[in-house]
Amino acid sequence: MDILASAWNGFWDTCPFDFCQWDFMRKALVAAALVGVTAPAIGIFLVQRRLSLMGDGIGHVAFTGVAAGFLLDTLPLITAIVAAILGALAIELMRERGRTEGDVALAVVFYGGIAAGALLMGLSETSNTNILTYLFGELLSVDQADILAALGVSVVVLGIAMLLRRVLFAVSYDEEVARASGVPVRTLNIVVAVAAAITIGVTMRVVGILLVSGMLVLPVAAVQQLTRSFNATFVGSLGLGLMISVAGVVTSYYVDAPPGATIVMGAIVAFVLASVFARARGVV
Amino acid sequence: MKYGATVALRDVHFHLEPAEFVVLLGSNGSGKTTMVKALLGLVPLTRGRLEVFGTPLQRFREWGRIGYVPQRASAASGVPANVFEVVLAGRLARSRRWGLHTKDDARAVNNALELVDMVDKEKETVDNLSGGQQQRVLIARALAGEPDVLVLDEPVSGVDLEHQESLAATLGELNRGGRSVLLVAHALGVIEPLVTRAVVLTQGEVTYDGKPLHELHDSHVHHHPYSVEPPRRFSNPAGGPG
Repeated sequence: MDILASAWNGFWDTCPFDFCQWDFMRKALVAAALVGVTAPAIGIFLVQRRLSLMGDGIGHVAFTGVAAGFLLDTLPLITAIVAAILGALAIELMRERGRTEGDVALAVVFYGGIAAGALLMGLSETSNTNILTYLFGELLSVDQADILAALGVSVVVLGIAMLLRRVLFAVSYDEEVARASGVPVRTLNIVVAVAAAITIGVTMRVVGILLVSGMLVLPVAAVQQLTRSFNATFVGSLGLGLMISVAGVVTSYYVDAPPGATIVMGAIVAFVLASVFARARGVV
Repeated sequence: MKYGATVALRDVHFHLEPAEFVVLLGSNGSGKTTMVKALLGLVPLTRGRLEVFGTPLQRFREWGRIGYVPQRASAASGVPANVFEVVLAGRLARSRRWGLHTKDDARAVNNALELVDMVDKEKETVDNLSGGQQQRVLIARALAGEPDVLVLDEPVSGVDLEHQESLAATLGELNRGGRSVLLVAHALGVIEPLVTRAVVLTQGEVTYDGKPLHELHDSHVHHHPYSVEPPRRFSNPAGGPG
């Protein structure tokens, strides 16, 4: 562990910026970088299926989980992940059954999640500041356990996204033809939904529950305006996600705003710039 | 065969023989698409029996032997994908599903694109292609699995005459190569010379099954005098799908 610690410190000592000397910033930067590459890797399949808002629905349910954690006096991280997974499965099943339209299913989960969360928060008499850190993220709140959890989730989710990329592409591009090719469509849809849920649950400390789903979708939405293939969009979104997350945390340090807000604003700036650039290229 | 609350197909007896070119005709709502989806196991049968290449549907696993081109307005999607990527998706029934594609996959994709004359468009985004070109990409995707049977749902709808003719030429070539073709259409149109058998569906029932007749050109196929003829029943020694 000494070697790891000295490597960690050695790495940060090479950083020329003054924020690098703060331990909380080092942790926040690493956590944000992990969020930045992981979220778009799973989000791209949601965008492909035109389910961009699914992540937001899961985030709202995760809020109920956080509140339940406070009420039960356990780790909100655990209850949030459990709630997020249940929410993701609920959305996926409602969508698959076809009885409820996809957007109506999402609306039910959105409002239900926030209302149940607010109710449980009220019952547990949690302070408003504490709630805000979960909604929008908080640099100071990232501890070593969060980083290890984020690292574990990143490895698993990136592994799934890369290893199963071809078959996940086929399913999200054309579910019916994938099914007619004998691909286990339902299982794979659930894999994507659960991977999104775990990503959201683990990364909420940095970006916040309300904004984490922006990182699933916005880097993909920005990059896809400039790319011609799925693979290029995939690689580009991961790169852009990484840059935006790190830049967002740094901005958050200087302007003293929640990191979730600065990261997502950065993603939106990237989206607008990509639109302008794509339009300019189209005209020329 | 039930679909939603209404019975979509009833009393349908259908066998597809090897190397046949069958056109499934009928007006809107006659059950053509439902029948094709039932044959592919995409909608459940409420009653009856379905064998694919001689195997009951539940136990059938060789999905690569069937290439399916669904009825679709466009091949565009949420995230841009190029022609190669879309056609490669058609290999999943034949090759491994994880990791990168193999050389065999790339070769099959290339062969499929050659058959539909789209090799030079390999790196293009499908969204930027014309309707006819997108249709050919979806056919190439079905061909990439090297199927024995090709099932196409209204492949010529919304495609201009020139592309309809080139599509017919491609299908004719595939059929001569020994593949069976089952094609859903409103009317025979440009594919007429290729068709070896026509099946007419009217309100979920087979009202004609036999040699294609010139009169079937007529869009009012359900008024055809032959529609009173009872459906033919085929024995299935060759074990064709369906």
